[in-house]
Amino acid sequence: MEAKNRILIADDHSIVRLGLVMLLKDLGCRYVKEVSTCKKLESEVRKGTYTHLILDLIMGDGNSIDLIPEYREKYPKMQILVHSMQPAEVFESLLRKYNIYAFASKTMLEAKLKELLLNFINKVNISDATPIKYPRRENPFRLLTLRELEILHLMLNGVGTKHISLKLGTKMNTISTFKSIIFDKLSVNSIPQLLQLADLYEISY
Amino acid sequence: MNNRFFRLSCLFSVIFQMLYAFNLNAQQQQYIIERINTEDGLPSNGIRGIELDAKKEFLWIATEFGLARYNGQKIENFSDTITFPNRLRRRIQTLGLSSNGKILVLTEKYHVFAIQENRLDEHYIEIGTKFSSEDFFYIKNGLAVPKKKYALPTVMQEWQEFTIKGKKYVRLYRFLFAMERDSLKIVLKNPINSQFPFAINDRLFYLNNELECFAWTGEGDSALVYLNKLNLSVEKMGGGSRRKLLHDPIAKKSYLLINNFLYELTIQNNRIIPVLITDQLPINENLQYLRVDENSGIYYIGTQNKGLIILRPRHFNLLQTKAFELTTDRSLYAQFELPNGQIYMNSGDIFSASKVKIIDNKFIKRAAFSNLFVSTDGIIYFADLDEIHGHSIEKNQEKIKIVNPVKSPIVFTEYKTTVYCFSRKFVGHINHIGKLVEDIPDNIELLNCLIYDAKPVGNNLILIATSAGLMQFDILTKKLKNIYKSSIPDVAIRSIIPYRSYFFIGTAGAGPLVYFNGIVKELPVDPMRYLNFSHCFLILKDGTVWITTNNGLFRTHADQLVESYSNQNFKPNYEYFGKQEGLEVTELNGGCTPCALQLRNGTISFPSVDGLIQFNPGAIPNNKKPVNIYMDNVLINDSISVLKTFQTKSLPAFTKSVTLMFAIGGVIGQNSNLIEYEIDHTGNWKILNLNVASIDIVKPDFGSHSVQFRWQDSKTGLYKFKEWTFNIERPWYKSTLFYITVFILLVLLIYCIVHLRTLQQEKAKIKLEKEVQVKTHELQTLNKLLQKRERVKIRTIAILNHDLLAPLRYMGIAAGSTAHLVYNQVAKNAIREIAATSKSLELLTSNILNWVKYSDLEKLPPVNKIYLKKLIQHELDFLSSIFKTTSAINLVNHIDEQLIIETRPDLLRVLIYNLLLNSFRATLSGSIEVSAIIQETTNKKITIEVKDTGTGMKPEIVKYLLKETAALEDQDSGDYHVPKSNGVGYYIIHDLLKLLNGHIFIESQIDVGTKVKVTF
Repeated sequence: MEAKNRILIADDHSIVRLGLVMLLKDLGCRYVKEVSTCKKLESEVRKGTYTHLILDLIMGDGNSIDLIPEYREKYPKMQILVHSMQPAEVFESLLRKYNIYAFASKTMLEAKLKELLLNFINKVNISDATPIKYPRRENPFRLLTLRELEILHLMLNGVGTKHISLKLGTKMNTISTFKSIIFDKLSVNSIPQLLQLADLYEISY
Repeated sequence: MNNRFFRLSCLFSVIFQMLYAFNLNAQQQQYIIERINTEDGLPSNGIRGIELDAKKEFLWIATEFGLARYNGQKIENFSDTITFPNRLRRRIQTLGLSSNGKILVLTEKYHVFAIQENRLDEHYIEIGTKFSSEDFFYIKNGLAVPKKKYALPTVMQEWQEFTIKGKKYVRLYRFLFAMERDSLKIVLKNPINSQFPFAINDRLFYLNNELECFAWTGEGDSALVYLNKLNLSVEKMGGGSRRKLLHDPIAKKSYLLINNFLYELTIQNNRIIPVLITDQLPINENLQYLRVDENSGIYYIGTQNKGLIILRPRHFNLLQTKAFELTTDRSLYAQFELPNGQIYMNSGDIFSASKVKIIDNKFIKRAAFSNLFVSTDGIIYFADLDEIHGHSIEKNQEKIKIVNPVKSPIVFTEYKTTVYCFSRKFVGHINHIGKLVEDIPDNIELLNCLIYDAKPVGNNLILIATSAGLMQFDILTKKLKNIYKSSIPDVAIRSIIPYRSYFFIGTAGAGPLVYFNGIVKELPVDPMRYLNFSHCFLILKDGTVWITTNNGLFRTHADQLVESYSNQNFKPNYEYFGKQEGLEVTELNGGCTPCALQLRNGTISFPSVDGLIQFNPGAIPNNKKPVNIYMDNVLINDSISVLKTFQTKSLPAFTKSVTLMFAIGGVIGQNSNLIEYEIDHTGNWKILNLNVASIDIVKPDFGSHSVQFRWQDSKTGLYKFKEWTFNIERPWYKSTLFYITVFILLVLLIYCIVHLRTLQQEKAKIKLEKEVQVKTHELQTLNKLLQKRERVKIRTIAILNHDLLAPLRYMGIAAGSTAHLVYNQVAKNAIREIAATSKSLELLTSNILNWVKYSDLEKLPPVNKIYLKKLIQHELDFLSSIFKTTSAINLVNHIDEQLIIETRPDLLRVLIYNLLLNSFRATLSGSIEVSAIIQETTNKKITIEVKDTGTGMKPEIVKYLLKETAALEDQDSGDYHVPKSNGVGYYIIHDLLKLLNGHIFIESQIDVGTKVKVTF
């Protein structure tokens, strides 16, 4: 265990953060910092002192999906473990493209989680670790790209096109096009249908 | 030789005349007298004047009781109130001619009507009251009118008009007046002994009682110049003074009537010569008016009170003998002309004109059969029952005498100088030594019939006319065949007459036929179908053909018969001659050869049932005159219509009938003048009945109608046409205005209906809208509620998933990690309790989440293929981790790794999860085993069995759990490491099995264990 490991936990649930802190302490981590919002996360990461980031995708003030590519680019040495309730079959393969360490589902068994955290803080190459197996489930949301999932998250939270475009700094037409693509890929016609489908396939928002 | 023959002939002739007293009936009348009177339709037998319109071919007859028109066929009575207006039904004074030749009718009411073609002009000329200076007449419109105070009939008898060099003269009593513009001027007062003027051409003559003729050369009595005395013996005519001069102003001829003798006065070398017309006129009938039709030679004579007398020229002479008067049979058959012009009959009789001496020996000793044949070498062949004779005409001696082998009539013909003989069941020829040689064909039975004629047609073929049809005999092969047999029974072929390469064939019953190149065709017949019994054809040099029938004679042209053979649509132009045309005996004989004969002097001779009919063909006038058709009247719904406007004004729309009455001009006969008509150009030509000459059109439709006539031109045979048209008004209900009105009304009606319906629908719509508004409001409220509930549900799921499930898990992790740090036992237990409770809540939350999510089948993920063992093993591992099972519990997954089932994986996962969850809760040691069986026999249903060695359940608990609404009370395991049960699991199991159409079976024993089977 490297004493210089500086771990940042970003999750909007304090009990989750507490549980993780307890597990990390058990694993011998000395420096564990917590943030509960995306805003705090950004200010904390900007310090550039963290070697590991345990990142929840959904937080109180938004989602952190769009942060991953940015962090990968700006802080290539910072290991990122995505820790989320989002379905692994949708996000795992998608986020792996951004060179995250692993996708850890919050439904993961405690022992498995401990093992994963141990490998994570010890920087064990993930390919050398015991592979994490998630049940292979058909999920229509797998068809969406990361950008589409990000916009989907905003749509599911009832954010209008205009605000999405402002939030993402994109033209409204582009957002409308994304929305049409999302509707087409998921074969739905309305936001309520989209909500039902998201619930059914356990897409959190 | 010739002199000796002549002398011998004279001797025989005298004897012949003495024995048989044959001669012609002397001085046959040149005219046939016909009477027309009230029985024929004249209004009265008292004739007041006649005028002949030669152009239109109508004879107008004025009678005491009205006007009549005669066309040679029938009388049209102008006093008929139906045919003519009432005001014309009045007594007629006389007829006259206007200066321009128009026929005028003067009534006793002093109205003058002009005749327009076929009828009177409806507008009359009122005679004024202006009197001339003379006592007797006044003049109006060129017509001299007697004054009222004179007894008209008496005056009119003495009234005579003459037109001399365009100037009109009138004789009344002894005065001769020149008719001026509006007066009469006396030009001759009292010619001595010259009481009767007459005119020939443009000269006026006087005839006195001594039959001396004077020519009038100018004004005054001294202007009469003596010419000559007529060479007539009044005493031979019966004496007396019944003489009268009659004048035809149109023909400009005058006639002298003495008793029953009628002479035409002609002028030759400035002498008046009387020419006898007839001596058969009746006496004491006061003949008043005479008109002659110079085209036909017919004389019309009006009498004072005996109607009209018509003299028709007799063109056909009937030759009979005195001998005939002694016998009952005057019928004659085969004939031929002797060199001296006499006619030798097959009966042995000899006819001779009165001036021809009978010089022939009677070489036919007794009546021969009706067949005589003269060969090219001048031998006349004939047969009787016993012998066949051949007599040289030139030598007047018998050349051949052969026994008649068949005792039947024999028909002779000649082919290449050989004479052939045909008889019933016999064919043969006479060879060069005068012997009869048989040429019997194999099928001679065909000739078991009567033979009438035979003619060679070339190519060694001979046609034979028989009662069984037309036969053809091949001289070389001696083959006989029937080439024509009519479909009509009992039709006999009677004669075969060659014309160029054609052969005209007479029949009894089938009409005339034409044979050409082996093909026989039937020819059209006349309207009366007399030609159905056409006996024979006599073809003259100019191609004129005379056809005899048993009901008169027909004249046509051979080329027209040939044309009709090649063109089925062409009808030959037949002229008919019957009684009306001067043919006294119309039943002509046939079935004999030669049947018809043209003598060397051109006279045609036909045998008839009552003597020989002879005539000069060149003297027979054209019996088929140009047809003049006029419309007499139109009856609209049986009422007389105005003729002038008939063709210009439309008839009423609801006309029930239109009767068109026509006048046909000319002396015609129905059988000669075939006039056909068609209505509305339908092509359906019908024959016009000339006796009625009216056409009825019943219920004519609206629009234009036409009646078209056609008749054949007498010279060319081509059709000529005349047409009348009229129009029927369109009925109001078929008019364009009516259609437009109906259309507008329909449009209005539709508009009203639509408008009404629209209003109704508007009301209904408003009502409906209100209801919809209410319902919409209700639905919106409901929807809002549902949406709210759905949102709540969706949000609940999201919260359960994100904000409850994960914190609970990490609460357990945090509590578990914290417990060993606490040394206070109470606090430690509390933290453990928190950890256990958080686990329990996590499981419960997860189950609730599944329950909510999968409550609706439509929202479930689709069916998929899964490895059952993997799915169950995943749940076993998960629960094992949750319950922290030790090696005391043996988890056994019996399911085959390769077992793949097709189901909804999420549903099955939740089901398995709950089944296993119950086992994990109940089992502290022993084993939990899972197995699966696919029931091949029950539609591949799968049964999954979860068996544990746990605490087991009481039967009533099991019974309760099998209920679909089962929800167990909390069962405290007593160990806070083990999550508590809350009964939701079975509730979910029942729900899921219902979605999977499955069943659950539970077997449980206390302290032994529980076995749960689910089949779906």
